[in-house]
Amino acid sequence: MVGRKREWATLVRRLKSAFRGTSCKFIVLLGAYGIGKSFTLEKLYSRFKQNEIEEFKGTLVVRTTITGAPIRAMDSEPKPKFGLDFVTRLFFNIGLDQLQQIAKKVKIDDVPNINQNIRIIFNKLKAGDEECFSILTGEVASARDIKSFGLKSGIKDSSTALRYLFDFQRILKASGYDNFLVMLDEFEYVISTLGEKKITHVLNTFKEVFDQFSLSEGREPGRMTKIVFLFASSPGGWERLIRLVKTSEKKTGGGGIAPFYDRINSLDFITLAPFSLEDTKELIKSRLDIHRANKPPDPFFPFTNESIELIHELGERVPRKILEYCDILLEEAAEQGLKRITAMDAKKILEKFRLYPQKARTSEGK
Amino acid sequence: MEIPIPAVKLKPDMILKILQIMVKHEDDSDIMRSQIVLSYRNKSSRIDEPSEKNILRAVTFPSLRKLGLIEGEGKEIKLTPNARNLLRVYKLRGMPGYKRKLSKLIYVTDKKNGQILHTLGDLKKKNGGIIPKDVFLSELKRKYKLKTEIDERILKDRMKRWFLYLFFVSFVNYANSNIQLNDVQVNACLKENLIKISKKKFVKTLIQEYNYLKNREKGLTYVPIPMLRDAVCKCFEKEGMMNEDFYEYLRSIERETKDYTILFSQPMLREEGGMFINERYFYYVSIYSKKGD
Repeated sequence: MVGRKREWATLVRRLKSAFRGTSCKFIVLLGAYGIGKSFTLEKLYSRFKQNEIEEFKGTLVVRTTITGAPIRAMDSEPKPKFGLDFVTRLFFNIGLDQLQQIAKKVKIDDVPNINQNIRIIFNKLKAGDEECFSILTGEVASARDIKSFGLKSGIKDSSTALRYLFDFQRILKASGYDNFLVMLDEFEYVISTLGEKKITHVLNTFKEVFDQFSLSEGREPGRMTKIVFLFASSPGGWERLIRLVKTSEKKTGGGGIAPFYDRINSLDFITLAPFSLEDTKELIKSRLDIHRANKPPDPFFPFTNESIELIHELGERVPRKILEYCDILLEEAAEQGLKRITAMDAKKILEKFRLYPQKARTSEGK
Repeated sequence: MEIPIPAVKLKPDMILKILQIMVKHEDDSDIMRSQIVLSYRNKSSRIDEPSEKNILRAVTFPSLRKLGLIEGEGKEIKLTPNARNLLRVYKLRGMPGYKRKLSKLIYVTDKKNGQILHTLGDLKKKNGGIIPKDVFLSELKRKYKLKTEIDERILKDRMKRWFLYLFFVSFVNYANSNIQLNDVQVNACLKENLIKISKKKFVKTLIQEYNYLKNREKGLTYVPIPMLRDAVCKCFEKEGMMNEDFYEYLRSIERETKDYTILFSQPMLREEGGMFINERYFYYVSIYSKKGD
């Protein structure tokens, strides 16, 4: 992964520590828009799937079904019952195949202290019945349909949903998974679009999951898979969370959002830094390499060193903007038949698109 | 049509008193508000007493906000470094010093909103030193593309109020129906208020205060710009650093050196106290050291 050696090392280290530990974890990945949070989560997910890191084996990772990206913390239309929505989405994103594989590894009837309904569902999954997957994802809701599966009730509220999740953690443990990593991108939307009460409810849901594991470990050690949450957020979202924590502490003397926040270890924050010039060069080179048929002697061709410096400066050292400017310059250069993209060419093209500010400080002056 | 002249309803001679009340009762929003209302009513010449809502929400706070003297909403309203600077200068140098400091604030506010002084300067050159009021009004109507009677009424009202400020700090005088621009006063204000802090010293203080602020909460790397501004301006209180000085310095320093990289980030929602760089609005700053990494 271009330019993220230190952050990657820290992230892997914190995850390893979390997986070795005896309690759930909240890990936070912070970064400005376009700095590479989602990309980092994507890369992490793919490393898990490829079993590239020894300590990551035995960990279930949640993914969406379309792109393989981590699930968004917030859907575009927030559901009224967060716990219910969250758990059903988790099951949806784990997917039918994976759930069946998990079920096949376990003698479901031997897993102690789980709800009869979930026992029925997982036995059916084990037997190849795909339709009961829709109970877990919340797609089946009518009493008749639920009865047809031999169940007493479906997942109808947040409280039931969380019980299903906790029972699933027991089944997961029995199947050999010690850890369950849940990656939640764009966490700032939870903080910025909801009112304080709703935010408190959402965060307390996570806190409840966190605490349930500790409770279970206290009573029956080694019976539940541990969940590690990795939240990716913009600085604005996190700053707002801290302000809400302070406000809620004043109002409630320690209740509200504070208990969630208090469960995050100071070491479990990873911030993505802006790119250095070397990082920018590496990024541009790696992107050009993807599309080249043959590698030219100059790995940055058609850009010059000066035009790269200009892109680095104007892109504010943020990968998304750097790539955006590169794309524009390459397309326009092709249109204009330019053989090289010098700093002057870049300036003219970006001016045409009003992306070159009047008073920009650029490397041209150096 | 948007009329960019600042809508400041508060009379300039009331600013000092109100700032003194605010700093005295900073920790008690309710007392602060009641004292402001009392002070305002004592000075008001209206027969019917203005309401508390009118005094605070229609007159005082919007005017102070426009002048960059307060930030925040409701009980979170607080004085900015500009306000603290004014109070400090008044304490040390009395009304003359206070007015000189205020003049810079008014100059900067004028520059950002409407550029009345600039327009007066142009007209002065064109008209051989004399600026008839009606000529000035016509020029503003043309400049702001005003067409309706309502717009003209608003313009006159805003001008009348803003001119009280320009008059208060002696930027303008009246002679019959003509406006006199005191260039000398304007230039003196700029010269007097130049602060002498080296960029090196500014950067050192900036990084020092940033490091302190980011450690105030676990995991924080991004610090709100107004928070850092207040901390740095406090360090340079003796030199009289104001909000705008801080923003100018921050815009002018290198974003990347062999020792550090500075990243500005945008807010989720528009928040007060950030700054524009190349027409983009930023609210957070993060500084990454390259030493010992």
